[in-house]
Amino acid sequence: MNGHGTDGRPVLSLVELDRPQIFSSLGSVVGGSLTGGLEVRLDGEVDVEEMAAGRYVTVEARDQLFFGMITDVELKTTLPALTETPPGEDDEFLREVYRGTAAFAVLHITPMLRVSAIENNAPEPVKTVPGHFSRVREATQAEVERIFGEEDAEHFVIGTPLDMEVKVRLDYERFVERSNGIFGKSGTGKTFLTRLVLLNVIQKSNAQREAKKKAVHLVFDMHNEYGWEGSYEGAGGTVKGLKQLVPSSVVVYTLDEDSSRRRRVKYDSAVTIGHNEIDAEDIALLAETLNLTQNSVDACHALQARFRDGWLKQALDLSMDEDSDDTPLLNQLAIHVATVRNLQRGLNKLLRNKPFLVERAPAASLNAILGSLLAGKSVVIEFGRFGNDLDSYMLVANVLTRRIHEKYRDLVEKALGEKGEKPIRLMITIEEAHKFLDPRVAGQTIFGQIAREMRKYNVTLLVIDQRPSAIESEVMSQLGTRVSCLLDNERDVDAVLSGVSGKSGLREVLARLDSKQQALILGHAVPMPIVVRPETYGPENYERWVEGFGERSRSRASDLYPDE
Amino acid sequence: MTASAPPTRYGRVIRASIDRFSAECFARDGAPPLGLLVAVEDMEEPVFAVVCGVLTEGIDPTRRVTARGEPEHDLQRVLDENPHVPALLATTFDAVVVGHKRAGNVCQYLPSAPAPMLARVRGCTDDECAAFMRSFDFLRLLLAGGVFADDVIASALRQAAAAQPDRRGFLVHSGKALTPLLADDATRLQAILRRIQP
Repeated sequence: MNGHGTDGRPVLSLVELDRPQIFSSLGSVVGGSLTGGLEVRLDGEVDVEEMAAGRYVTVEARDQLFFGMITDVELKTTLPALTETPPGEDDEFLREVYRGTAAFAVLHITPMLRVSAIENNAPEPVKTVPGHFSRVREATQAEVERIFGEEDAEHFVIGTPLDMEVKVRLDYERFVERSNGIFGKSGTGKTFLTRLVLLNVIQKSNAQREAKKKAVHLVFDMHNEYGWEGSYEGAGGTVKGLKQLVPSSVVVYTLDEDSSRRRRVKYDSAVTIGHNEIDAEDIALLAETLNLTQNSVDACHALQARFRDGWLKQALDLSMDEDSDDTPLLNQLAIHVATVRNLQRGLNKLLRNKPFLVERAPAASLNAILGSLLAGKSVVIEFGRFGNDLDSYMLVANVLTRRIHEKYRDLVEKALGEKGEKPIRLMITIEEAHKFLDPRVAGQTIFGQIAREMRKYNVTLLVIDQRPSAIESEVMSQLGTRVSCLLDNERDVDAVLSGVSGKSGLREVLARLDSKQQALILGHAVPMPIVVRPETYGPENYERWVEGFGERSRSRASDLYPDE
Repeated sequence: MTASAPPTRYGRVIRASIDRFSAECFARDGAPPLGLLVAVEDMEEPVFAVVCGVLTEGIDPTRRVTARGEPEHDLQRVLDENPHVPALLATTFDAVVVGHKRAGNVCQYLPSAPAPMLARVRGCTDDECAAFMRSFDFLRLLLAGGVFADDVIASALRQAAAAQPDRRGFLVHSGKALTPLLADDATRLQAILRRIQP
């Protein structure tokens, strides 16, 4: 069956000849369906305790191999009486006799890919199930390696599967062409995974020859984890950020120069945002946190329609007196005095103690960021101490993204008109994404729009969140690749798995991940869902990453360590 | 057959059907033990059976053996005073057919013909036992073997196990073979398993 060519049939390349021929056989297919997954009766001599949800198995059908994942393990008995009077503690003989005969285990397997055992085709999604009594064995390393591709310009390593020493790779091209999500409860390693993904995308982008295949990041770095250095619970307390590892491809901007200086972080420039750059739409997004009424939000829109980019100043200057010079204007715009009071209270809260918000900012900040992106450099915006202030985070992310998206739209449309080059692909990373993509606001924010219009304008999202259920379902369904660490809220699990086939099985896998260093990856950039232990993002791998980046950047990286 | 000692001959077939036979013992007190795997000789290829019952009674069906002697007389004294009685007794044993040899291979199903009358019945050699016990398909034939089938199976397996290098492993293996056969009668299964428990 393994097609080793003795009968003249072509050798199945999935099963390399030089690897050990000892497969650990697990059992036989005894039932199941394409939608509900396969049932596999475990052989008597196989220890059920060795099985693990999330592990890969290979089913050897007549002419093809099926690959699937163990999604559940069930104990069954053929003797109903045994469940009422099980063998006693000292009845070792009876236990031994019953084990694997009257009492046995059934594996539930979700079939995911199949490959012909005769022709050397690429694995394809399953459209049928293997026949009765097909043998099931653990997938071999060579098979898993083959499925997840070799590391080349198109693939980057994300981690290793459970109990295997091979590497699982994401398809770079497929990853960057759609919006993606990284989820997990807090403390499960989202940040490390994100850093890993960001770094790898930068490296693979640099390795691309064609400009249209390159991609850059715009990272709204809420807790200052990605730019210069990030916190780490292990020895040393910090890990190097993107700027230290790939300095020539990353530009760090900061909103809080004081904090950056205190943390001795090398940043390239500070960001300021002018009141004139804030739109009514940005305020609408913050309505809840600023405690604004719907009337106030409407008033913002009315004021903006009237005063264009000077509207915010106007709004702040409005008199709250019943009978003032502004009364005719308010009447004309149908704004009530109580609304003005509510609006001003909210706006003042927003503008208080935020040195990066200036009355009229030079357009330089935005242009510099845009310039960096278009030049192929990823941009990390550090929030310093303002990261803890959700208003600031949302305001800045929204303002900058909206502007940048506008610019991108113009550039793409221009490129289409003149058959020119589209701007470099942009992936925008936002944390606490549900705040931007909540069903109530996703329709209005630029992020909702980006997620929905997909890659039309070459802008995609990398959403990082611990509460995926709070993200609008339409947005979730647009996410190409989802990487999820442990989630234990049922609704969150459902949200991550929405629109995925074999969902019920994967739900068990997702809910049973270790609370650290395990992630389920599914979607566009992987051929089938897989549980991985992510690569370690730490000193042991720095050299490899920096090396991949060439001599020049290495020497520059060392220049940046005055202390060493 | 490379047996060190020749196998014991126990008797001759005096009644035979396709699934069982009775044999009269050569010696009145020379009956094979319950559960022993025996072979019918004097055929091209032997028929295998498992001893499932032993009976000693008077030779003449019209003359019943009566209980002689006083209550305080022990057996030896009664025999001493009635030396003719043993000569009037005969011992027969019943065996359930569990397989046969065919073209040199052990088949664990019924042969096409009953054991020949007056053929000799002997115990199996160790080699024959070992070859026969490689499969447990014969258990199904034994299960239908009468009222005491459970005890017959248990003694057959215990005796076979004693000759195995891994006695416990053999018993576990046989228990596993028995389990699906008695899937609808857990009590009976448990009863047999308790009898073979090492």
